Amino acid sequence: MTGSSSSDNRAAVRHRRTYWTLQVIGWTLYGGLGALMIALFGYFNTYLLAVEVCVAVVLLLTSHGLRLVLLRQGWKQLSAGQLLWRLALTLGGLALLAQAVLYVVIRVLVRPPAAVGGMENGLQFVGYTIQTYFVFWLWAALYFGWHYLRGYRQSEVDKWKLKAAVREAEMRTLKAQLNPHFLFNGLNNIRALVMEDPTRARTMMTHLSDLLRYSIQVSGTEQVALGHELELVEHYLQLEALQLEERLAYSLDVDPATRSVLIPPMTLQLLVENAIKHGLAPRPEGGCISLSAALDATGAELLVVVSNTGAYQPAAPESGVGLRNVRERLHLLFGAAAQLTIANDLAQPDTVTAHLRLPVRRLDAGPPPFSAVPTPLATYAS
Amino acid sequence: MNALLVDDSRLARNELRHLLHAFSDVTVVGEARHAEEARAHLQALQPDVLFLDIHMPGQTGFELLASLDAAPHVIFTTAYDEYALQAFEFNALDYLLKPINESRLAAALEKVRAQLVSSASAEEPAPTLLSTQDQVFVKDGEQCWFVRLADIRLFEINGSYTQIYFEQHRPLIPRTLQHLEQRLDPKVFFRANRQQIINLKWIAGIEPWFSNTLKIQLRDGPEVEVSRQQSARFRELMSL
Repeated sequence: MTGSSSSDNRAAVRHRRTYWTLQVIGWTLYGGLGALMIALFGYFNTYLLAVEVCVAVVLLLTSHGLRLVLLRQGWKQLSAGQLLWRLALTLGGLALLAQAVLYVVIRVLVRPPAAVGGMENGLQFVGYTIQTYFVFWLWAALYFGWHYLRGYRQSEVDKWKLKAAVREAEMRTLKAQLNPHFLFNGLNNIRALVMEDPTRARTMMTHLSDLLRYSIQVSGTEQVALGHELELVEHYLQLEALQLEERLAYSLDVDPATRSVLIPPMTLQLLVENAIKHGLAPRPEGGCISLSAALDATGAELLVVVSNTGAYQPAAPESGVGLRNVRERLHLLFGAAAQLTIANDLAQPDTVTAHLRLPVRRLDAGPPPFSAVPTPLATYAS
Repeated sequence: MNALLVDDSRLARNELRHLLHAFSDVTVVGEARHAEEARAHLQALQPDVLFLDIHMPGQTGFELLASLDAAPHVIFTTAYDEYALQAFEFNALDYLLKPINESRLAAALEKVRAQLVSSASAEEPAPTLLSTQDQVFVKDGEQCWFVRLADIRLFEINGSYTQIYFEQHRPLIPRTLQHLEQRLDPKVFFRANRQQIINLKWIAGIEPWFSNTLKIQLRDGPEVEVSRQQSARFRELMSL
């Protein structure tokens, strides 16, 4: 997380530097071109040069003022229609303001004699204002054009990143996540169970097939209903119970309202698997896992808590890959609004707790107005 | 032959017990759920063969073996362990993947029978000492070996560990040279000086060295300078 915010900072610095470079170059060229035109017509003198310098500085400052306004008012988020009429008015006002300021500045600072040509008549003032108005339009066109291009590129990059993360998760699902060790131990245990308790062996076969089916189905999807993922977690825990027997105790406490909330697939599964692999399994006496899912008071945020017996070891390399992938997918789907933290529980000794927070999005994109009832559970595919 | 099963999953032990039932010469004398239990059973039951899972709570199967003075005949049983198995220098008797294939199990047991016959004939009647046919389990980073004592030409102090020389390898084992000296057969292994024990069967040449000491050249191995006191003992031993 710190990595991404520092790279955001670097991007902002680079962005600001580009802006100022373009501003200074642009307006210097504008002033220089003005001076050149005058020189070509043979009227060149130091007064006019001073005037052009004033023009460049004042226009630079007014256009910078425009940028401050549009950033503060959030114009970059506006639709084209809303933006255009705001620009039409504001640019007009600004052009007028810029010429008024220039008039005063030139009068006070440069004081050109009348023979050289000041801004004596009103018609000239109107002419300059209109010219400035068009120049500002050009400025706005370049500014927003560049911004939209950048935004477009960024959204393309984000889209590809998410795709890559999903693909990676998919590979992990097939290769490591439902790890072969788990799979073959499960099969071996079922083979023994066939002699001991054929009915339970049949149930376990069903858990295993549902688990495999789920992992094949969700591989490649970006989001899945929490209720659906929870079924997988239950199959998984049932099979682990076969291996760990009395060493595994677990409890699930899930608010029904959370079941339709969308999460990246294999997220809960990973948290539970890590809890077993790094928490319970290494202990000869085993331990317990509890998973709870609830909405916060406003109903806008989902909170999932997975606690397990054990001590947190941040350096465990295998869990590192899985967790990094989950964090990456959360970041790409929800930005900074989603958080996943894992740490030793300060309230209970010998307990590791993972907290997952994310904004509530449901399968049904448009929630029914006037209704606090969550999307019906039946909407997720089974 | 007597077998000890070591696996943390009760069902996996049951399954293996069931499979072994088909072999009339195999008796399962005990089961252990983890390394500590296995160590106790090994002491008490002295099984001929150990069926050993690698991943267990507490110590792994490798760590169990590395802690033993002499490793028994081992057949590893594991669900899936590409890295550990690939890294393995296979002079382990065998390894079986769970769920275990009956014909693979039969082949593994056949190897154990062959081993038991050959080591019974080579057995030297010194029950408290390790024979040259005994093997130690050595894990060095990703690599594992079962090394016959007969193949080790030199033991050398390295901190609180002992470095052993065999083939081109020089791994460390977590035991002191003093401890090893007590367990090794003095007819084969000779304390050359404070730092080193040599295997007499690996001597390539001996030359007199300064102040009445000896210098011994080992086959494929380093030269060892024998201390003055031990040089005298060595001459005595060899003159017999």
